Amino acid sequence: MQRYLVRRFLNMIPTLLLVSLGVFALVRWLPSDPARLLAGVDESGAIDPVLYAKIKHDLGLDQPVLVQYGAWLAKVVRGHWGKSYLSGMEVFPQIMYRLHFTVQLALTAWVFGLLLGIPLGTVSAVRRNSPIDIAVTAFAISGIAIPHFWLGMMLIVVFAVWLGWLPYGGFDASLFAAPGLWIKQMLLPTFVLGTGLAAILMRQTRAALLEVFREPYILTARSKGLQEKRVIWTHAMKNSLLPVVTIASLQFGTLIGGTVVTETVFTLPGLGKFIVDAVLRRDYLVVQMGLLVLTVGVMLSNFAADVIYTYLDPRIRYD
Amino acid sequence: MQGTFSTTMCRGPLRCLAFFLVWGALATLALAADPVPPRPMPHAPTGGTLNIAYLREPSSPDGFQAVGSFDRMYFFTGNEVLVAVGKDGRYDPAESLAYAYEVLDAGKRYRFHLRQGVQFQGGLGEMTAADVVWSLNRIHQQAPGSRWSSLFRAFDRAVEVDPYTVDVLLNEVDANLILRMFDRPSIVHSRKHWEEVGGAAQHKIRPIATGPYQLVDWQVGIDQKWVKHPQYWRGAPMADQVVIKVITETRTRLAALQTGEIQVAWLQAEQVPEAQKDPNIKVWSYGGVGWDGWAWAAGLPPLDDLRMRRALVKAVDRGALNKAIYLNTMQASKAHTFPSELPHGIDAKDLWDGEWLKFDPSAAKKLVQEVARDKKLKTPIELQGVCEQRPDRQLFCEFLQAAWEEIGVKFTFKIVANAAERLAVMEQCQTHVNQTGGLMVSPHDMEGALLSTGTGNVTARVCQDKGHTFSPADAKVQAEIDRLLNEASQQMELEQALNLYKKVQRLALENLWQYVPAMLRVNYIGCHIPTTGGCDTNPIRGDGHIRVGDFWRKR
Amino acid sequence: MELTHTLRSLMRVRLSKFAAVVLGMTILVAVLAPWLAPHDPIKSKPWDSLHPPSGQYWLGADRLGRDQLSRLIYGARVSLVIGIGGVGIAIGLGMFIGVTAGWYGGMWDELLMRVMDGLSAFPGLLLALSLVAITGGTMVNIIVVVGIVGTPWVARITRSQVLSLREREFIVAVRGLGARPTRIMLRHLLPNCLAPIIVQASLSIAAAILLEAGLSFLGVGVKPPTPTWGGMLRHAFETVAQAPWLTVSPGVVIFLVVLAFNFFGDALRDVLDPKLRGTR
Repeated sequence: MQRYLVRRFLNMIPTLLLVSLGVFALVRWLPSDPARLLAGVDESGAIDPVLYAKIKHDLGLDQPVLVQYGAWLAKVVRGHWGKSYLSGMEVFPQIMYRLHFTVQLALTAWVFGLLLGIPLGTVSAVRRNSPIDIAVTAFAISGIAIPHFWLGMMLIVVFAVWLGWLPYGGFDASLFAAPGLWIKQMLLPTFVLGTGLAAILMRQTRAALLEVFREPYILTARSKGLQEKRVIWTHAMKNSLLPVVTIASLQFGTLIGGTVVTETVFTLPGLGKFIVDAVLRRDYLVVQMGLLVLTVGVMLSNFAADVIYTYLDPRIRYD
Repeated sequence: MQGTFSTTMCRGPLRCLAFFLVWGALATLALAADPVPPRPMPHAPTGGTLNIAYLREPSSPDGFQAVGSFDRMYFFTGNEVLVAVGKDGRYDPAESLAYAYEVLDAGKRYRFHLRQGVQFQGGLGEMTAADVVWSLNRIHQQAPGSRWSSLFRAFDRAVEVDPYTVDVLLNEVDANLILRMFDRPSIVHSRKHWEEVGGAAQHKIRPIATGPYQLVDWQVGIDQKWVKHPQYWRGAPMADQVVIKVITETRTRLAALQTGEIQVAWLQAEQVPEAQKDPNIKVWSYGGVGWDGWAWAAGLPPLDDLRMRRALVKAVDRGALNKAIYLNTMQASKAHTFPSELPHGIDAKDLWDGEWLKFDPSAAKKLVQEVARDKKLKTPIELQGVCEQRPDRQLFCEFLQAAWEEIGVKFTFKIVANAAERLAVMEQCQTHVNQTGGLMVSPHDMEGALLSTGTGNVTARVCQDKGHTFSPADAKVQAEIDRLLNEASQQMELEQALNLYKKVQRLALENLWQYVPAMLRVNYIGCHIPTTGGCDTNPIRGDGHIRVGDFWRKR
Repeated sequence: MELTHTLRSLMRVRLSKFAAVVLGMTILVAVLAPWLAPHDPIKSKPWDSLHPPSGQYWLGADRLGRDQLSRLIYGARVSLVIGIGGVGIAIGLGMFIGVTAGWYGGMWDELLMRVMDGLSAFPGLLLALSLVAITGGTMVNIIVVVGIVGTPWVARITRSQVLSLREREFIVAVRGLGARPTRIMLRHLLPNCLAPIIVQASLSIAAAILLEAGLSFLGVGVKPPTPTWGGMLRHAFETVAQAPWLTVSPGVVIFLVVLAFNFFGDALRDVLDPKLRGTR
């Protein structure tokens, strides 16, 4: 198993390189000239050509592309991520600050999805075809189809504007320092982001449990006279959880990448929104590093999901 | 008062003399120190955090470098100028770093008298002439690139006369100089700080100035944090901290104001009606500070034909524009870039409401057909535009698209992020129309906007050899405008310069030169009454923006 | 047991009937838009700005006075074209990559799969956003971008199918008979890959429609004045105080269509791939 995991990890490296190359190329193609942005335009619209050339040289933009890529990669690995063209501030701390938030949001939404999805799916499977089942299934279905931004905006209008119970968005609370405020600020974004996951897990749990319920050993357990609860918990759940956990772990990566819209609607200081703003403002470096960090994050969490899956499924242990 | 003195103090001639000598000395000192006392802060400090919400990221925390006119709402939180503009649009010495100035040498030397005891933020010491001279001389410096160099072509340099007196030397007379200095170019920063942090790049991030709050943190896309500057020369700042948040979504910004999470917010048209209905919100407006419309490249065919330009203006129903895009919160312009009510403005009702520019789509269509016939163009005539992504600007472009389709013009536009990018697109010389607006604080803004002495408009500056040429009639217009602007800049008296500027405005409007100022912009500010002090009187200055230092948290 | 099982199947059938109806209607509406739409979706009538629902404007008018219903109808075109077109490109490109990677193996397979891994690691919306920012927001560009974003999953499914089919007897036999690789790929491999791909395609069209709505919402979708459901939502929320009804219809429409594609995919799965039945 360890060899399998190591192999999987090593396989990530060429992909990482390709991703970095892709990110670099993507940003080089963006229309707009960062040297120009930095050189500053005067009120009548002219730029000093000497200054422009100097900035271009400083940024290395007059070198051939591959040389630029190599130099960039070397700096990235050492942690010299450069300075944003817009604000003049170091990119690394800015990205880390927002990554910190995005991970918080993704984790919270993930836990929410798990806590909502699995129990509801279980109930739905146990009380098959009852009104509860129908209701839960309906909720599950809507969770997948509803557009996040619509849900988010509607919730803001209802809970922040009309009722005034929750803030409009924004985030400046710390979980440990101000838990009450943290919960208030995280509640709606978590709900919006987590319902999709909850919906998927609901259906998955339900289907898996139903599958397991049909197995002979469940029939055996029942005919032995065991209590239904014990049947469900000790026998059914354990075996059905595997696909559910696998999917849940894989979804974490999707969550990290999918926070963009939620962050925009609720004005949250996350990495997704940061990248979007940077793309729209043509802040090259931020886009580059932000995309790289986010993509690496997704890859790492997928790898983690792989590890979990490998541990849980005895069948592939001796590959 | 005199009576009291003579009976109590002047009991004996020596005592009386001593008293008057001391009193006279004190009085002289007092007069010399501060003939115009600082305007006191409106309220005692109440501490707490003031939250301000704005719609857009500032282009730079350093006011001197900032591009957008709206950035004033940010940088005036902590930056101050040598000569400040008051609510009436005039020089306000009580809030200026220079309490007085004189005009010498037949208008070629301005002498500014600086206040004493003005402390920079962050414990960086007292503001002296050295700082002011350094700050002003940035105008013509190349690094980090000054935007004001061409606008201040009359300005030669600033020199120190004594620690509290600065002379500004001019190459030529400029009646507008003080008006130009109401704004960013005369922001005073600490020279010592610049030298300490090693130059432009660092300085740009955390400039040190004299205002009531000091910038301590800027999270791009989120907010800026400013903390109070206890030694502020006008008195103790009323809040402990100011947080300026960027909330781009219109709905959420209003929601934040309604719940009191935000004390003061910039309001857009969509929010105004609802904000006005809310009893907790006070809405202030200030009209005529700017215009919205478009700029165009008059040298790019078919815009080089005045008939075409007229047709495009006559196709636009400005009443409908106001209703649809601005929900009736703006005003249709009756002048050029300044409203008729201001002394700088002209009354051009005859042009706007008369046959020349009145809304008349069928007449416009005829004009277009004429141009198409004469120039052998096929209809629909195609025009390219560039628009900013901001929702109201995008809607404006869609409005134009629909309006111009009615008269046989096919208008397509690119969407970009900001003003700098719009300019970049125009400089590629293939775009006809640039949807834009401008802030018009003083005549020099219009002058700057019409600057066409060869360094100005896109056509003349960049696109001459890339397919743009002025028609003979337009070339004459350009020459005449150049002449008038030059003459205005030679005037010593502002009034004389203003008369010439009015002629420029008239000429520009008749020929639809460079700009079509279709709407006059009205700025709206919302104030959350239960938590905010300072909402009772209109807080907006003559440049259309607030000063954060005017507000406090209510206890 | 039997009863509940049948009930469940029936519900499935009802749901897939529902899905079929919705999808059919959407396609019909999109195709017949010019005849169905009561007003011009693009021509603005500013004096009717934010008109509430009435006999003339069934769902109200937007900020420039354009009829909401007509814009929804034309928006269906955009969504369907982008959804179906994008997934079509994904299928074409993905199958090509998957088949060649699976068949030839070796370095080619390694390289292609690494590229696919890299591509799928990029968060979809951000990748689409960046690509659209580079290339501009025309319909064609967005379709291609959506296609690129969707290619990896097709490639992976195809490749794994090919890998398992490659060693099967009939393939070995055909190879033995001397058939050329391209012929094998086209006639034998590809048809057998189609089933799982078609199932997933329906779900991907739903995802593509949501992706396009997301892009429009962020302001980088298809350029105005073309009506898009996401763009309509974006503008509707700005004037939610003055015209709240405008925020409801585009959201409901997106929801129903995405739902329908999801159901349709489920139903297809039940029909085409019995092995997978009940695992979702």
